[in-house]
Amino acid sequence: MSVNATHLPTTVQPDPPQSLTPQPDIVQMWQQLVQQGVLGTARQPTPPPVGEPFVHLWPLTDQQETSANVFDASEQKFLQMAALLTQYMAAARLPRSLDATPMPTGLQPAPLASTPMVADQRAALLRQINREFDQKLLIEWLYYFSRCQEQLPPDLLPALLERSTKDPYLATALAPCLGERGQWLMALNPAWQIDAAASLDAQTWQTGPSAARVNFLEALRADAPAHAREELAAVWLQEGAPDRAAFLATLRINLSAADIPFLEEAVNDRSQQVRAEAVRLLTTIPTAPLRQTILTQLATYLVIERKWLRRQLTVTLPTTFRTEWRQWGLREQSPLSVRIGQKAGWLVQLMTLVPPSALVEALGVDGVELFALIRAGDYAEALITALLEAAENHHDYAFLTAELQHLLRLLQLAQVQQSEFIERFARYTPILPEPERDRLLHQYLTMTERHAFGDWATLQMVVRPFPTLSATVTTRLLTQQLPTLLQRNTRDYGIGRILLDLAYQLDPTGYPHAETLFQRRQGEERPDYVDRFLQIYRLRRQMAQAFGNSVMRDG
Amino acid sequence: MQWQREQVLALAPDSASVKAAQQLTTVGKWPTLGAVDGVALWGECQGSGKTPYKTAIDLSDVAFKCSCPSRKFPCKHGLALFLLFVESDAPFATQRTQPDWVASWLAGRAKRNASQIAESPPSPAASVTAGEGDDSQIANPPTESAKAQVRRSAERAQKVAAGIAELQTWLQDLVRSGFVEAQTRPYSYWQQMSARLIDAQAPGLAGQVEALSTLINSGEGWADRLTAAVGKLFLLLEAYQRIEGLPMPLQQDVRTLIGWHQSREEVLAGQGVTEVWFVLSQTLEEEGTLLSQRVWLRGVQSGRYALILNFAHPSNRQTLDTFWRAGTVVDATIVYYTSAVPLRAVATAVTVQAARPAATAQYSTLLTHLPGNTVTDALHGYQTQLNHNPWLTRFPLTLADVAVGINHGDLPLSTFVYDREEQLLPISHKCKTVWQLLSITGGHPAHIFGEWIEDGLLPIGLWYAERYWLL
Repeated sequence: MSVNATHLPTTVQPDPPQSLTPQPDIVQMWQQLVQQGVLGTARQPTPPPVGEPFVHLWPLTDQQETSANVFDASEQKFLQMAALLTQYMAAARLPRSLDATPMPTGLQPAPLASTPMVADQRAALLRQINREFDQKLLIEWLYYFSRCQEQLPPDLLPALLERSTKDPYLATALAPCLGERGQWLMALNPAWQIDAAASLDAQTWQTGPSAARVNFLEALRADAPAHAREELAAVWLQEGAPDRAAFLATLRINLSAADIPFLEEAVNDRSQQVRAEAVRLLTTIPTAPLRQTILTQLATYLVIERKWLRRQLTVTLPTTFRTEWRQWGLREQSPLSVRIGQKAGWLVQLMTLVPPSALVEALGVDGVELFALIRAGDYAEALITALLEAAENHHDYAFLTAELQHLLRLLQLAQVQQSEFIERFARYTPILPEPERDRLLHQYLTMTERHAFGDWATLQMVVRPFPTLSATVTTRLLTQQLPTLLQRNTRDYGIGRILLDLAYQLDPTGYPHAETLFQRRQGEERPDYVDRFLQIYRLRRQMAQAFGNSVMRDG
Repeated sequence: MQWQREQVLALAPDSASVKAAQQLTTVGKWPTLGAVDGVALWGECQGSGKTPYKTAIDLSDVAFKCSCPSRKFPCKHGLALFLLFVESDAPFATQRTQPDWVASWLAGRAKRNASQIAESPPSPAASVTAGEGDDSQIANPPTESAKAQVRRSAERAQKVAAGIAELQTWLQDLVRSGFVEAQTRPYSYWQQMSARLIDAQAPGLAGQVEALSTLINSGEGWADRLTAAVGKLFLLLEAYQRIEGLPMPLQQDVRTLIGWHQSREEVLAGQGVTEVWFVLSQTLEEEGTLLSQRVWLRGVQSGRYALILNFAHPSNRQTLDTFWRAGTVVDATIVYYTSAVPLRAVATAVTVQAARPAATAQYSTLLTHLPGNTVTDALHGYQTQLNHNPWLTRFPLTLADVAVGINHGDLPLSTFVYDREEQLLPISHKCKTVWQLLSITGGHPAHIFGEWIEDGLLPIGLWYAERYWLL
């Protein structure tokens, strides 16, 4: 470790003691000795010259007989010297002083913690989950924790940061939990930059990683929409197409008519990706001229006419691919997976550009009626796909919800089959907001009582899109649906997988129902997957209890 | 004593057993659960057959019994039962007596233990103590078994001497031909020498030759490390040639390094140190088929360190001590192995004190304020001991009020600790917990316990924010 020894190819105490002089002799002796050992005494018989402080010792060791004279002189001298120098350097070594040169630097210590350490019970759960590394439970624990004003156990921070570098979902969950200590630690290791956005500010945002810059712009857009747009405009021409598209997408936050001029310029961008994003945003603004233009065009292709007592949708396909469509991001060869013709493909793509509720309004019908008319006419599958995609693009879910509500009414009147509702529910719900999904499912479960699902696979199809299920839905599932399904079939191989998914989805408050449901009767064999289900569910219950009702999960 | 989940999991023969046991830790799997406080636990676990498996645990000595056919020990049922017990919400019916099958098993164990104690032969040292002042015993001629023992000792000494002579020739060849040439030699070059030393009943030397074979390809600085190791080995051989002239404790160190073993009985015949000991660490190191348990203790009054070393096959880890828990204090009598620098020891009469944070904090204060805890003093302490035993490795140090520093720009990352006098020591490159150390302390001063190894400090635990952290 000493200054003079830093050039040695060694990590074995090469330091000459600072109090003894001359130091370079010791270092030099050691280097020469190592060199002799590497080459061998047969090639380099001459040992290093003996200097201080051994010069008065050496004649003694030289004369001394060793080991029944088995060693030849050169080997003997080498080994004696190796033993002596090794011992000397270990025994006479002195610590370095921090103010010597060239010196390593200390650290700027982390700010002293301003929040308390996480409670023992919570920390114990984290340690258990981290040891068993259950990613979903870890993320859930961090979710609860992010709502507390506490510090993560510092001894676990390195492991969590290390895992987050390989797991973006975990990184997203961990970032808001890092606290001052975590941020400080992360800054020491470039490999751990999972929350680079936090380190960006108005001066440095232009130079950070793309994802961090997006986060920065989103935060700014939430607070000062005009200022965020100006910041973006200032760098617009310097950025590459993927970044321009990603930055432009941040305008969805607090989007307003004030953004129209900037977006209309972006519609003329050289990148198709940017143009498509600009069109998507513009058509979300009710007063944007482009939205009106597209709706006007659609009204020429989709016409609702009254024939006798019924209304009917007449679909007229475009005959030519208009020049402006390319600018709006439409492709002449349909990119859709649905098997339709080229011209139908143009229409479908055009429909995805505007929010479905705007189309519904333009056509003078309501959402339920439009679905019914589409289903009764030509190109039904393609047009419904277009509506779903448009709803997802524009976060316009009102008409999908209305359609499902309508189906529920029909189901109650026994005018549709349960399977029809389930098929549509499973198709629409992945793009519906979670509370809306949960409300619809709850209505369905209430209506159907114990017979909502014919089999386990149907249950799985319906609940799969739910990251978590509400307390009311959980109770209904555990007290009505699962007992019925278990009565019907407990030997299905897929049950284990479905139950395992449910263990992470069910609301923790329902755990006592699960225990009651799977309470083992005397002499009855219980499958391992039930134990695993209960084990995970119980951990989630313990987590919810440890963090208390104040931070219970949403929904 | 209060068992912890980690302690129970440490008993598992492998990770598969842990996983299997965890799946049995639901109360529903156990129609019967019972306990006699501090004595035994039992339960019946429903398996795939009609009859449930009967599982019991002797809490006084931590032993398992299960009627399942598993060859693992402890089996998943034993582990699961223990886990249920340590997790507070498991409903064990506390009873005064055990069922017959548990009672008969416990009785059998007690009987066997009693007969083992009765049959164990007195240690040589104990015999000497008993014979003091008893002329008739001293005058007695050596028994046949004693003669045989002397004969066996002489035979072993001869074998060791022959092995050492062979090793000297081998060492001379290594030095003459050079380390670079040794790098090109096959593993059998090292392995054969090591095997011959095993045959010569010098397993310690065999281990050192094995260690040389790993140094030869140990990356940057390998030649320095090899030169140092060869020098130390030469010194050991020289010391053995002159062992009669060495102080008695150092003779024992030399003999231990060559491969002689001090039996537990011999050690226990020595004088013990009875006081309160702070458990600084309890770690398991697995090397091939050997599991080593290393427990560092420090006497809160004397400041003396003690190292408890236990060994087991990885599938038999329940034979290791289970009561050591870092950061707690125990009342114990520690008896040291004979050595010029006594560190390794055997613990007897261990009583684990109930978790008393206030007492632990008080003992922590005592320990971290003992003299000799500055960087300079701690290093000097090690060097002083090195004069008594030149082969000393992994020496315990406690450094008070030291902060961690980083040499940015160094690859691999180079870190160090420095104290209030701004004296610094490098942290060993073997340290895998440096980020934990930084995370816990935040770069602020802490009291660090660790081992001084060849290239620096290996931190093991630290006192920070009013608690002890095991790294």
